[in-house]
Amino acid sequence: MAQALNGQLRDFSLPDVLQFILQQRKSGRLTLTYHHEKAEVGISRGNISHVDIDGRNVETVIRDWLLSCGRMTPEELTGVESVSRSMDRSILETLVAKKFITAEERADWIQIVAEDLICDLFQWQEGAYEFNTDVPSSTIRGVGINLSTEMITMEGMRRLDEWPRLRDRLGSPGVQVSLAQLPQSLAELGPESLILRQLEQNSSAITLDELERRVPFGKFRLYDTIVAYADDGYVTLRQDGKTFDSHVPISLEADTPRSSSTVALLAMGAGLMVAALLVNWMMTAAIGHLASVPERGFIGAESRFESIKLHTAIQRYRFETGEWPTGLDKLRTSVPLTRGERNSTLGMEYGYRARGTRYDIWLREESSEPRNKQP
Amino acid sequence: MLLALAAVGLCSTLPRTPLQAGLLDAQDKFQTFRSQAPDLAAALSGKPVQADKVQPEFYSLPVADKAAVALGNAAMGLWTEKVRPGSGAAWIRESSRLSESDLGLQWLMVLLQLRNGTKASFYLQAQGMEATMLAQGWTRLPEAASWLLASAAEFESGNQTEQASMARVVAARLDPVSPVPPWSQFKVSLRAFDATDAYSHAAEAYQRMLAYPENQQILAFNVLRILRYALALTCLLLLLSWVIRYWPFIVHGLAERLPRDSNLYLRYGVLALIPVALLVAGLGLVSMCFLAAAVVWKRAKHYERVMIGLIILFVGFQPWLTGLESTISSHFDQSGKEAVYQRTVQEGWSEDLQNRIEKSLARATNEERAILTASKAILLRKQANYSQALDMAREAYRLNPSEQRIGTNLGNQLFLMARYDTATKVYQTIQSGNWDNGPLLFNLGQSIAWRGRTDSMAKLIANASPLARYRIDVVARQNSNAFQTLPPNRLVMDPELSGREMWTRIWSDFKAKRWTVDRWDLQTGLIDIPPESILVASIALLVFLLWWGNRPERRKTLFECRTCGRVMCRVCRKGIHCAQCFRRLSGIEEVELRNQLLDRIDRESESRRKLLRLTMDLALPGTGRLMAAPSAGAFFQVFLLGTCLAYSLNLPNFLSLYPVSETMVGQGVAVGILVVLYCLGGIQLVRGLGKDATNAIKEA
Repeated sequence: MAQALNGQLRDFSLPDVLQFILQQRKSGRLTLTYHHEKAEVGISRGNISHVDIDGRNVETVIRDWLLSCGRMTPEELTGVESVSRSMDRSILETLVAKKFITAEERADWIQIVAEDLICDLFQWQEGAYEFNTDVPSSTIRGVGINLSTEMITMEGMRRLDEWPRLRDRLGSPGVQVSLAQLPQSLAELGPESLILRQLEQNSSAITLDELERRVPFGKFRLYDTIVAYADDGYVTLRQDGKTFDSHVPISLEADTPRSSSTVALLAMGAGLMVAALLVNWMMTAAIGHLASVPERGFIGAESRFESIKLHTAIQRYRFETGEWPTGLDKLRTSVPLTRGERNSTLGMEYGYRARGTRYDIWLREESSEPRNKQP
Repeated sequence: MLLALAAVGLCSTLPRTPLQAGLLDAQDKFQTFRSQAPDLAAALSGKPVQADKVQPEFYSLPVADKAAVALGNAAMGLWTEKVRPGSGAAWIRESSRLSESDLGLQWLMVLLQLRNGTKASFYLQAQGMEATMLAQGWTRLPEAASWLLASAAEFESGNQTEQASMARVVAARLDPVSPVPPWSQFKVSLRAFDATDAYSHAAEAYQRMLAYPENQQILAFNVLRILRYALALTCLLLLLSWVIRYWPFIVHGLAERLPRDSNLYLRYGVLALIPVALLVAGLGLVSMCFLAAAVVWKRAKHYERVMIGLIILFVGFQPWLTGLESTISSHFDQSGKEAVYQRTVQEGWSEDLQNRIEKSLARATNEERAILTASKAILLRKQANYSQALDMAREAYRLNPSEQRIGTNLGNQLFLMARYDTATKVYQTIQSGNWDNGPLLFNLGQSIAWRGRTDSMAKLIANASPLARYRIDVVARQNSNAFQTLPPNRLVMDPELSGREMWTRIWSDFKAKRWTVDRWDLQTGLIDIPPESILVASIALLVFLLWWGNRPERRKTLFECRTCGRVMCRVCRKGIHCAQCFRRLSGIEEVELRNQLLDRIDRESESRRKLLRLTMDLALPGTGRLMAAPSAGAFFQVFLLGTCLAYSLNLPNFLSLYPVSETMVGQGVAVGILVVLYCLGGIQLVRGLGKDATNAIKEA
């Protein structure tokens, strides 16, 4: 058997693998294993054509549902199965032929059940995957499933995202649901209206577990639909004999920026910068004062040259204008000193003061009284 | 804080050179002169004078006040030269003679003549100043030359080309060592299309560069520094572009911990303030560089890792590169033996220099003591204490007889004490076929000539190498121009190191690690890795990154959205989509509509990337290209930007007293390249900002 792709789901999740296969337009069988669980997904030109999780597939799920809701007896099922085997066709086709379900119902159920089964697989975060391309086309063809991989991937992710909220709200054991009122037209609600029909058959409230057995939907679809119906007022939710609000906040709040958080973040940034400036000020003051000014090496040399240049610039300014410059920044024109030359190479500013016919320049502007001492 | 306040007392005023101190005193004297002779002072200041009062004022000047009489003579000379050219020469010469011991007063008169006098009066006054300079033992006055070049630039801008030219000529005479004044003349001649003149000035600048090793040192230092800064800036820009490129990967985990109901890009932006704050707080560039390399490494591609490794090593070797610079610049520092000796050779006596020699001698090693003692001998000789100078020269020779400069110095002292034969023997011992040493050959020639063997002296000079002859010519020309006022000092030239010997010493000092580099020299920031630990830290970091970077990830933690390329983690991803794409795409089942939406998202993300690239290209040309599609051209553009930025920031004007306008050759070209780079960035941005990019801005 040709093994095209294998690996661990923790490295490449199922959506990634499915997306990769879709991009390559490959056909084959994707097998997932996790401990004792095993799932098989048939893929035809990148899209999903079959799904089986530990023996649960579209046929078995629909068959089991028909039995549990009483639309079919075990004897009838045995007959249907033998007919299917002898005619080499799927049970679903025989069910339609024997009028247990309609052709429309069959198409709906296939779509819904396959979707739910695949979406359940997305919860697998660990395990191994293996994709084989050399498989019989009949296996891939299955019961006529044709799910868009891209669509199912997005739907699966949406379910993963919303499931925790639904589970928190409706997942408690004591939650019961009862019919409040029927809509004007059940057909408009689609296949999921089956839930309302089941509730209509029961005069009293039933638990969600019971309801789950009576419909062929996965848990997510069931809970999601019940929440929607509760919002529309078709069903009532009860727990411990009390009704409760069915509203589940499923809107994606995180995608809408809140102004309060934005302001908090901006304030945090501003605070960070202020703190940085404070540290800089303290460090400049401390290091600048405590370090001795070197006489040797580059700094020793350049500070001598800088000093001479500053004196020349100040004296030339006075010679040309007749007055002392008010600050060292005025020396840009007398001898074109750059900003770097007006500041010390040590990273400290020069101090300057003129009095009468004399002036002083000294290093470290913090000092107010320069001393006439050789550096 | 108490310690800090106590340390404030350490600060001291920066000393002036004797010329600068003298000018201040001279200006005081000129103020007094204004009250003594207002009209003469007005004549010197270029103001209108009452002709009938000039002479009476001059004759009423107090004879004992030499400064006043000197200023009076200068004023009379200036005034009469203006009235009748050629008639003021005697006055001006007299003013120079009267102030021959006052360099500051001479300088003031030169400046006044330049501003208010005629060409002849200015040249005469400058000649007097040059004579005084030589007489007092100064061989150059670069601060005066720098002033004159600044004045020349101003005259030039005011269309006073003749005065500008005069200032440049005198600048070249007052500083016969630096190549900057002739280079300045060369530039002017070139602008005037005077090829002959330009060639002679360029040749003069070139000769000075070759003849005086200190010019080579200054050039080498500045070239080294500009190269180091350009490379460092390029490395920083490269790291910056990679950090920006991989920033979402670097900080996504942290961004997810910030309030998730805020915009993701805002969270990225706020986290970007962390490195900015570190920089603002004073974290040094070395640490920042290591930090950037570490955070980028895991995401970097193979070639980027190679380059990051090279950058880390380059940073690691910074102390050594700075050490080479430090070794070169130690010949100009404040208390190094070479710097003190060189100052003694070039400067006349001053209290500052004498104190410096004494201070250096007090803490000198035995090796340093010899040359410092020779320095002291030279200074004593310049004070006319010849016998003491001879004693000192002998002491220096005893300490280190193998040093050529010390031997020559002894010869000089002997020669000045009229012991010509002994001096000749000393010179000849040192000379032994060395035809490159100009000062030695000049001194030997003098010594021979004083014994009457002028033909032997001529033969000796004729055999000298062109460079040696150039140096001899300079001194001979100066001496013949100012022979009337010259002291015996000028009969000898103080020995200096030849270029080859100087570079050999610098290299051996560097190899023997006779240099120190501290945080001042690296100038990276307030808080940084100590220079002595940088290499060790860089190697340790590199080894760690090689080990850590090659370790396989246990699980993939970050992904890129297949639709829009945003970074997402296991928490925020929605399968193959990021939260935003997921929100936009979910619920849309119609294939055509979805495809349209996917196209739109793709276009928007492409526009966003384009916008970031163009913005970076506008801010730091080349970094955007480097980020989007690395190529040799992009790397070159970043290097060009780094080099031009480093040059435009006036980096190569260290160890020079001249204004940047004179020393920064081609600064205009560097600024021009920068302007072109930024204009191209701007044009690219405007052209690139199509409708999609505008939409992307709105989206952002």
